[in-house]
Amino acid sequence: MDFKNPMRKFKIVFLGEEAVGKTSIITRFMYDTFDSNYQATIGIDFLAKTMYLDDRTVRLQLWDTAGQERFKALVPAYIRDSAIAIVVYDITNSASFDAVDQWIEDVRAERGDDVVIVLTGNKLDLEDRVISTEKGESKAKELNVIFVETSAKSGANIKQLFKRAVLALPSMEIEEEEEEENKKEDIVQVTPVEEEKDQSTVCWC
Amino acid sequence: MDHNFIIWMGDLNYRIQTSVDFSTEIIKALADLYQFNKLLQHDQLQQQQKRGEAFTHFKEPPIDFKPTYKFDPSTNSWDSSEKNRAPAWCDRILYYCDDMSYIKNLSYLSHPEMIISDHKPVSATFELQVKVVVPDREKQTIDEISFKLDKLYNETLPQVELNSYEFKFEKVKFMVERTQVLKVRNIGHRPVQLGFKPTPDKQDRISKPWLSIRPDKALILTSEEVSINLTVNIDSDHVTSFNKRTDSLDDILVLNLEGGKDIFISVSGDLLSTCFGSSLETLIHVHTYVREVPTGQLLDLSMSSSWEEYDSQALSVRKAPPPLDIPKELYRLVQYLLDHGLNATALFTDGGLSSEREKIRDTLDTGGEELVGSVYSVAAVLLTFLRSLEDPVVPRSVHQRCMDASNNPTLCRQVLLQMAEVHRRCFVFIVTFLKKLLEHSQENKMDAKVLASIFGEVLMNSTREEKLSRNKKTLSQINKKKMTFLYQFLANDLTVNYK
Repeated sequence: MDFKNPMRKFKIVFLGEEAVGKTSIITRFMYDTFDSNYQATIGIDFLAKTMYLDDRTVRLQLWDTAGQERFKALVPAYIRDSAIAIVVYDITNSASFDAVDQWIEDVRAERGDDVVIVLTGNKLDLEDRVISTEKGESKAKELNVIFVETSAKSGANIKQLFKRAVLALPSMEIEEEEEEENKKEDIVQVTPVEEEKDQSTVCWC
Repeated sequence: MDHNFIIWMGDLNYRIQTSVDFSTEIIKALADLYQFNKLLQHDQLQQQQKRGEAFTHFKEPPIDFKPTYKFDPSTNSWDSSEKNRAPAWCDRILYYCDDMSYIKNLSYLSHPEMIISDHKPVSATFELQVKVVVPDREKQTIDEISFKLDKLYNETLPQVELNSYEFKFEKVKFMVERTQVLKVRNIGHRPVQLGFKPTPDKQDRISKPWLSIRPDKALILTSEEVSINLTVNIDSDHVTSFNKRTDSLDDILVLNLEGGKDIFISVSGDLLSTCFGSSLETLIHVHTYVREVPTGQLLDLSMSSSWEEYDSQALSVRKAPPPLDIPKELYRLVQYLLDHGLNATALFTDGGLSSEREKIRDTLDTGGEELVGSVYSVAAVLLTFLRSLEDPVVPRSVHQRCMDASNNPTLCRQVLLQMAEVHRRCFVFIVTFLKKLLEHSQENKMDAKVLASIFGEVLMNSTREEKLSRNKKTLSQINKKKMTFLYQFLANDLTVNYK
């Protein structure tokens, strides 16, 4: 057992255009709340969250990024070291969907295939959808990434988004194997010891 | 220990204490008469429990059965062997729980029908209230606890409040320092170490070269605030790139809170148009004043078509007026010194006053009637003007030839012929001015060598990159040759026929 590092830590970076709901997804996941007042993220915000998944626990570092155009050149530097990239678009905004190719390209440029990417269509609660689920799905298939549609406002699929992302981490399998190994080591072999016969049968009276 | 209930059972081997008055035969008789209370008074286990010597906190259900020991095997008769053992409750069942209300005894029996042993077995039944894990509730509890822990952790992350995320520097003037204060207040629960991060788009600098941040690191204790000065100063080194539109007054600073987030701070603004950092080619086309042309459009003026277009908007002349012989800014500065400064000592080394220099630069750019200030301030502005030119009066393309020719007056004169007309005119104009100063050397104490040294450097200014890429020794050799080149013109009469 690794006592120095009892929990696996993973960095998750959130990418996507301005006002697609990156911060709202994080807020829903962290605090199960939603703030309908929009406030732009000016920089890179950082929060930690422990996630319990059936039999294991992971510690997630959530990196929220600024989506505003003027900050675009600065954001890719923050993809470094991330195990998971969540690329968000707004299903009611086709420009935000068009931009996902570039974001995913940025992730691939930095991390190659050594990363789990989740394409996330947010704002499922809105009526005026312009990007169909099929369109999102086929884009995800084309780019070989996971696809989820969410609503940070209603909370729909938010937990699933994180669960799917974490379960897709290749290192989770490795950890599982390690755990199996550990379990074997933990087993104490009990073999009966032959005692002198007369002692066991004689009553001390 | 990780359990709630203890049931302790077995052949505990406690006996009924015999004595002279309480013989084995009496015990057997009382047992057969079911006089258990009398016997229990002599029970060793109950005695030890009362004295706190064993099983102090354990309870035993009331005994309402005959002693379970010792019988002749295969019978229900008391021991008839030679040892003649006194009957005893050797076989016992005790129980314990932190809260005894969770455990209720339902029966405590002996089983005399079992005859294979010299003991009779005992049994007890209990009703227990057992805690069970409700999966949903467990999940909810874990979520609640982890939520609290995460919240606690996230609250220890550095938190600050800024007075502004955006700083706008409007109408910045060339060489006039402007400062705004970024205030950072620590609103978190622990001290914050802050710093600015270099970014790749700025060649790993923390800010553009014309923007300075002081301090660029700070430790802020909780509830305290630091003021950080953001100072914009666009000087000769940077003004050309503004005029050429390769730079603009825009920057994004990355403020990092150690162990926490990064905050982007935007700096924006505009530089007022200026003749400084422009080119001679451009300036001879500016008949009006530079400030009337937006920054960056000055560049277009050197192409006459754009000039026509620009001027037509001004409703004055439809066709471009002929270019000036030399930039009027250069003319005004030199003329002022000819009028007022011929006898001044240390004209180019005094430097004047910064407030005067600023006014003089403004007058040049805005077309103010008169230059106001001491001759020293005007002289300093003249040097700045020459030094900040995009391409110096002696164009960089001929610097090497100038240096090669520096020992030979005739060759020096020939290099002059290779310079573009406007450059040659300005050069001759300045040389004429310097010679005029030398005519007054009695009063102003200047000599040709000193002037050649001061002006050699500004008329043949090296680029920043050139200065940085060469070592000190090479640079001083270069400067010496440049000085010699200019000296030839001051010492000899090489500019005849050039106007």
